[in-house]
Amino acid sequence: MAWRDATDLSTEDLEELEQHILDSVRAQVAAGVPESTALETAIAKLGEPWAVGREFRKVDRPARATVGLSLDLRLALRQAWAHKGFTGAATLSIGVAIALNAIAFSVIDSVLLADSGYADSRSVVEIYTASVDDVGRPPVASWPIADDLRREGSIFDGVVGYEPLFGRLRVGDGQYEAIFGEAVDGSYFDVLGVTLERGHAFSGDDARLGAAVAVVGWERWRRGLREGEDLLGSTIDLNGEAFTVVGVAPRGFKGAISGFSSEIFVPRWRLPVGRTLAAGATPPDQDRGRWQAQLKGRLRPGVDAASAEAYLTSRLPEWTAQEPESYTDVEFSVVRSDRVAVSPAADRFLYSAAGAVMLVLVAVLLVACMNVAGFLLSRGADRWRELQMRRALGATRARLLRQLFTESLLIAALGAGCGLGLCAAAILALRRVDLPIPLPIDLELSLSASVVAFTVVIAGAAAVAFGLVPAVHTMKNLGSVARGGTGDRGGSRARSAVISAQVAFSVALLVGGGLLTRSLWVEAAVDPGIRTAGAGIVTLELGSSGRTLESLPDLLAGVRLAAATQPVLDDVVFTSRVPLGTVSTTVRVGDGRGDESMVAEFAVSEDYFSAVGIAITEGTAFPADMTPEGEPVAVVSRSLADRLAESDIGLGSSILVDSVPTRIVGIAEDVKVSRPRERPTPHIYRPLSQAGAFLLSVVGTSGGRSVDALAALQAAVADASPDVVVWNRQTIEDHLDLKLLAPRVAAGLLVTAASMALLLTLVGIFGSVQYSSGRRTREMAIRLSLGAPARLVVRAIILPMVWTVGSGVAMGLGLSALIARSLRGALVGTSPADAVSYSVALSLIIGTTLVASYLPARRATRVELRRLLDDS
Amino acid sequence: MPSKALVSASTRPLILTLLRPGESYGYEIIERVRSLSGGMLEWSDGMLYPLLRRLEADGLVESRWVTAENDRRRRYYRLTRAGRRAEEVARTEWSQMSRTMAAAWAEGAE
Repeated sequence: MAWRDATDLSTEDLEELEQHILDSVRAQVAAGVPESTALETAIAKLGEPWAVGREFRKVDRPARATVGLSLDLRLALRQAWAHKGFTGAATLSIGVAIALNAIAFSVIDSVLLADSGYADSRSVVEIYTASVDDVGRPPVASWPIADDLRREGSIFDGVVGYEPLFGRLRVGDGQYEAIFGEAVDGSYFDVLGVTLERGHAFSGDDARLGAAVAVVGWERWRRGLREGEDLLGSTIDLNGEAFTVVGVAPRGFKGAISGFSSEIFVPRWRLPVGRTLAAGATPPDQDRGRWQAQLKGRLRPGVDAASAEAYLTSRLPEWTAQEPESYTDVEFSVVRSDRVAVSPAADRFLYSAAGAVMLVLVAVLLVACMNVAGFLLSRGADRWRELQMRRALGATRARLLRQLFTESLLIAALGAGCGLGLCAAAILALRRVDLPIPLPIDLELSLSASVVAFTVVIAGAAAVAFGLVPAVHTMKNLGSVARGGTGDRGGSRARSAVISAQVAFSVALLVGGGLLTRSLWVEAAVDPGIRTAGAGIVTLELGSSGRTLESLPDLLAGVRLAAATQPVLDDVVFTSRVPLGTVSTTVRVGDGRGDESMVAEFAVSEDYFSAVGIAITEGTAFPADMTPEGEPVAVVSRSLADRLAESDIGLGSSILVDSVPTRIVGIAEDVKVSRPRERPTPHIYRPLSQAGAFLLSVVGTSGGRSVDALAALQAAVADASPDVVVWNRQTIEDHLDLKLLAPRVAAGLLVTAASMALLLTLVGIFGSVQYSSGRRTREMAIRLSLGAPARLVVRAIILPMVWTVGSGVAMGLGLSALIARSLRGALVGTSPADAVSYSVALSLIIGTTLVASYLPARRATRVELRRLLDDS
Repeated sequence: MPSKALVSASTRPLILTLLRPGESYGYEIIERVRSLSGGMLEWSDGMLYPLLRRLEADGLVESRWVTAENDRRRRYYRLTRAGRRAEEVARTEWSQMSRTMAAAWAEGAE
């Protein structure tokens, strides 16, 4: 009978008995007794376990029994401390992999899982005027549609409209800041269930009086305009119009426009903010032809999104007959707001991207787990004596299994702590990164409760992944040790399987990273069709300063004049959009015979082409003296000219641009309009003085560096038009780089993941070869002393590893083919079977794994037999 | 081989006496007993530790942990002031008993 329950003894009692047995074994072994016999004798000499246990219990010490998990934990802590090197390496491996996962999750949490801040958010819905599957059509509405739907009391408790507001806030004498906000329905805060932090929302009286009132976001209110001044109750200058701040939105409320952070809310009756309506013009919020609003509704209790959608669809024919301008071609979709992060179409992309990222990072975590599992398998084989002793002292197999698993949990917990620390540091660093996007993206990264919970879950999963198999394997081996085995039965096979799997993952990630990197190079080398250096771009938001088409020439002349005082600048030209930019403007171009299509439109100054390096291959650019009243003219791109040629329209012919007859005066070489990878995309250039612009990009060119050109341009713009809000500023290089942001992030992520996986694999291989050569040191020393060449001994050590790596590479190639296939859509000018990517990945993995195997093997051949015998 | 009763009666005084010169640990105490008795006294190793714990509970010995090789810890025991007094009493009693027994054997032999 074994000791009835070894856990009945305190940790210290157990430790003391263990030390006693070790002393006894050591003394016997010194006297020539075989180790396994010595252990049995030592344990037998302890006496009958039940009797000793009874004697222990007789001693009156109430705090004697330290049982259960606390004992496991203490033993695990002792193990961790006793093997600090292993603990550190395992913690770091797991910690870094957990950190990568936690960082990615915190971004996903911030973008896709953020809380809307609405009360009872499950009953708030998005109301789209187009199918969620129709990605080519923006699901916007006119304000009157919101009013129509609000009357459907059987479905909705309330419906609100809102539209983005790009504003210019006066923050001091002659000082302005760009501000993003929303023009909203009067019942906006009530319907969304948002209780204001301070003040009140828009009232019925405000609506009747058309009052110029505003609610500011919490963060804007906290910052104020000037030190010590409370924004609430004060009057602010928005787009040149005075608004009284009547309320402050609650902290964390970002508005209704998904993905952005709104800082100010003005009522719809103040549209267009800062501009005077022409006499007799329909106010924007009454105009059924103005489709710029978005809609949200609060469902009545008992009504779900699907039935609301079905109801609206059933009413469409009647509404279309009554208001064809509002409802022709409308297709209603109703989706719960808490199921939409940005928009259904964008969400589909974001979720699949997030899934792909998490898949890659989980693969890295798996490689790290395999590494630690390999270490644990090696260590388990060396712990047979200790475990055998505990087993003899009465610990059940389940009890020992629990002990081993607790040790894995401790490593996972340390890894989670390390991972969270790294994640927090990364979040701090990411917060400081200025996103190269000219919009207020709401990306508030934080170490939130959900990020911590996620980390705890993946750490637990990691503990199972790397701890359970080695623990079970070690326990299985205890039986073989008792029968005179080495304590490593099947261990080398298990370690080989682990390393093969690590190599396979590493190969797949390296191939994936290689393919994306090659694709990035190809994409970066694409000629955008414009100059790529020596230029700065400053983008101005004209709407909020009330600039009209008529006043535009004055602005351009002012900027040109100011730029003339900047010797760095060679030219200053103007455009409504820059190739490969974020702004997208289109016009309808027809051949006058019914064939019409939407094409990208650039409203540019006459000297734009020469300054940015676009060749006019036929005809000319615009004359310098273009006026709004003059003959409408256009320059078309080569691809548009080719298309028009099919309708016998050429240089000097007339086309319809938004139904206005326009003469083609020139044909320009194609530029990349939206994406570097796009095929030639038809586009059209119109004089700025005729087409106008909402956003105006001022391009300053220079023979020198782009940063100098940008600085000079900024100074010139500030000098000429201090009241115009600067929406964005960047060098031409940064501008072009922005379009490569997504592929660069994807390639960087995969290359980082692959590097991590490779590094972890190399550490695993190094450790495994070192362990196996360590176990064979004596054999190697004898072989060497008998005259075996060192290279043969090295070969004998690393040959099994070569087979292991080889099988991993074979599996990895299969896995790579799957990854390459899934990346096909993201590759530019690179085949999924790209030989270079595969060759580099294979060379890297084979070369580095050989080195990682060779180094410890070589070391093993340097052991001298005499020293070995002396030591023993 | 001494009787179980005699072994049992001598255990406490023996441990106290072995600890008089200085601190020692369980395995060393057992080996010392085995050596001094010429192998006649064979304690069950496991029984020593509850006894040491009892002596500690009675305030006759105290223990401390010392880190040995391989980061393992070993528990050392030494006499307390009360333990020294108890050891002296035990020594006196066992000496008297021993002298008495020796005298009785001498008388019986005459």
